[in-house]
Amino acid sequence: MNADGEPAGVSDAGVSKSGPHLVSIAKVACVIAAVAVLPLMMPINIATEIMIFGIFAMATNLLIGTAGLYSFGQAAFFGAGGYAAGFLLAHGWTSLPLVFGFAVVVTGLLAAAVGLVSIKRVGIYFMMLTFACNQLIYYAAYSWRSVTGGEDGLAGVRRPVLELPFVGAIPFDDNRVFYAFTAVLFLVAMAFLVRVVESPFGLVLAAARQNTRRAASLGYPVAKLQLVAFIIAGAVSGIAGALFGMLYRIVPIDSVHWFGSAYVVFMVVIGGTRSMIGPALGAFVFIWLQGLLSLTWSRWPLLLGLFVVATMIFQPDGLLALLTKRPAWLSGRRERSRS
Amino acid sequence: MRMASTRRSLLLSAAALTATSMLPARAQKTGPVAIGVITPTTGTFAYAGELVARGAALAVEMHGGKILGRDIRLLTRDDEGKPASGVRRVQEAVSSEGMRFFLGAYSSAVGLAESEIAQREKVLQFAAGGSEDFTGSRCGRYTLQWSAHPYTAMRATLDYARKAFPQKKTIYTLTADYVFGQALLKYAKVVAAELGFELIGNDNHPFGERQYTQYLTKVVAAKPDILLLNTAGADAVTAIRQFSSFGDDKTAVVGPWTLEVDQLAELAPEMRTGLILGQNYYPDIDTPANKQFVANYTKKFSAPPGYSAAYAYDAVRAILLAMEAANSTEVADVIKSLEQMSWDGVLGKMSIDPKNHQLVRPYFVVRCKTAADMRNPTDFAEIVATEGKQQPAELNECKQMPAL
Repeated sequence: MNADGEPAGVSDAGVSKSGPHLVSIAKVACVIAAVAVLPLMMPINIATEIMIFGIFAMATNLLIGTAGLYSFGQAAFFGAGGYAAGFLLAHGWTSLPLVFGFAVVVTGLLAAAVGLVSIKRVGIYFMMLTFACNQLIYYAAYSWRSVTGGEDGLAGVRRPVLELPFVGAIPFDDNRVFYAFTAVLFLVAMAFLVRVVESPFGLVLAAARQNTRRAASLGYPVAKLQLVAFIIAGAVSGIAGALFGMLYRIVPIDSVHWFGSAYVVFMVVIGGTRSMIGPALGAFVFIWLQGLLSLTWSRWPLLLGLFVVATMIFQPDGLLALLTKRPAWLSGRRERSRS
Repeated sequence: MRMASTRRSLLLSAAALTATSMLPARAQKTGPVAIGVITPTTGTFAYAGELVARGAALAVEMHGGKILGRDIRLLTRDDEGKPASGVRRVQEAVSSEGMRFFLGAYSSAVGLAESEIAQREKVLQFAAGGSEDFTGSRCGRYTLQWSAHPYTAMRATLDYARKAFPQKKTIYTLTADYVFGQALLKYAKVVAAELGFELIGNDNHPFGERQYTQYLTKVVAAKPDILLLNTAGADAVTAIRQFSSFGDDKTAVVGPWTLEVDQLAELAPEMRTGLILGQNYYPDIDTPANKQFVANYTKKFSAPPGYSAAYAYDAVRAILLAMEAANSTEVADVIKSLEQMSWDGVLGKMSIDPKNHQLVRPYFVVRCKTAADMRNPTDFAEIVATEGKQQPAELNECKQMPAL
């Protein structure tokens, strides 16, 4: 698995194939060890949230890091996934494949609709359109009280039950079992997204990020592929949202608020966009810091803001780069951040 | 990325996670009793968070800092005024700090979300907020509601209006278009029918509206006897300011749940003179518990307490009284004790309705004074009526309280 700080772009395709097998295994082992140790370090619900937002951030990074699409509307899909799954779970349908299948279909369709509107616009126009669509979906959720619970949130969400042949039904009512389930989904999502990034599809997305016109002139249907990436990111975000609804047994209205879209971009950028571990690390740092700082001072968002600013200035490649290479400000030369 | 490593990774993580699941859940039987204060110190309602924390701290201090020989520890957490943050903080405090009792929240949407955790984790939540769902469709055995029911508020306010202006008949309503405003409108209809008022028009305005002229011109044209404001906070301040510029002296402005003491300072004296406002709390309330509270609070913080501080003080005090009555700090015992208790609270004689966990309490109607009548800079109004009519049982949507 090439999921570390190395560039996951075009140039990198050969490296991961010829790279030493042992290194990949070591990386995988590190990720799994981190996932296993996490609940020992903090309350289990915070660890679960880190896994959930890790999935959300990795999905968003498919757009930001690989495709270069800065979407500020991803919370729409996170929230929609929560509502879709939550609605079934609150009305008695608790079959796990059904619930997640429904969440994926709903958010995939929603992402297709938003993507069709926005994907052909570039830069600031793309950002604004995704943001506007997020607001539209927020107000739709806010007004559609019979389904979403409106301002008070969708309550009464149950956790699904996994029916396995030979094993029987596995309920997720125990928070530790639910963490294990979320962690497995996190690892699956990471494996899947790394696979997507390294596939020919991902390589074309990366090529289009670096030079859209050149990629298009080579004959690649750039807009179509970007739309597919947008749908994948939306559907995976929907899974994260569904998990979030199950965690607290409520889908609050702020799960679809644009704040969430901004936070997930922060997570991705803080952690690093060059791999799938970066966003996961970003989710960890962001959620953990929120908890830590909010205990220290009642005006703590100021400190969080300072941290984000400092990261952007001194560590534009993300915190993950701290672990893998000497930062520019330590070695005394300034490097331009890669766009 | 190879499939072999994925399969191995899944197996490894499964093994590792089984190990973590064997950790015992931490529980506290001795040591301090943790009471959570989950309030917004950032976000839209940031001003309220600190006031709630002050009230809770004062209640603990005045109780001597101990309950049944154990120290009381207050856990203050920021819910950011967001439901998602509120549930995160509550769940975290329950699992890592052993919190079994908490105050939360100032915003109904946050409080209702936290209520889901309270029922699931069996921790006592003493909530405040304008939503009737706390004691209605989303009632729960572990959640208690301190604030008055919208019916109680509306009934007390309009009862006074009926007595004060026997000749006034027609009401025009201006309603904030979200859960809270719509709940007030619903009960305005109920109470108007009970008291013989006629509702001649309503306008909904979005939350955070800055321009009310469009609605107010319709109000003035309709010539109602009463303008009823089913809106609160900054929206209400703006609406009242703009209405006063119309110079319509014939229409009385009445707010059932509109402005608190600390927001009245935002209106010029001539704008607020004569306003009739319903209050969950007012510092002038004439009860021994309130006199003691106001004296201590004013001495400590050099300002009179408002709704937020009074809620926290009174709710913590009630929890501590119930613990003493039950001689236990177990949640189930405390809830049973609260359901049966009747006590002299800050607001007067108080109890909890065991059927829906609404605090049975009086509601206060104040009339704002002219600048000349004010004895000190915070003497905005005088209490003109005190009444606590409960919501009619047939309108309550709380079906059944589950067993503890």
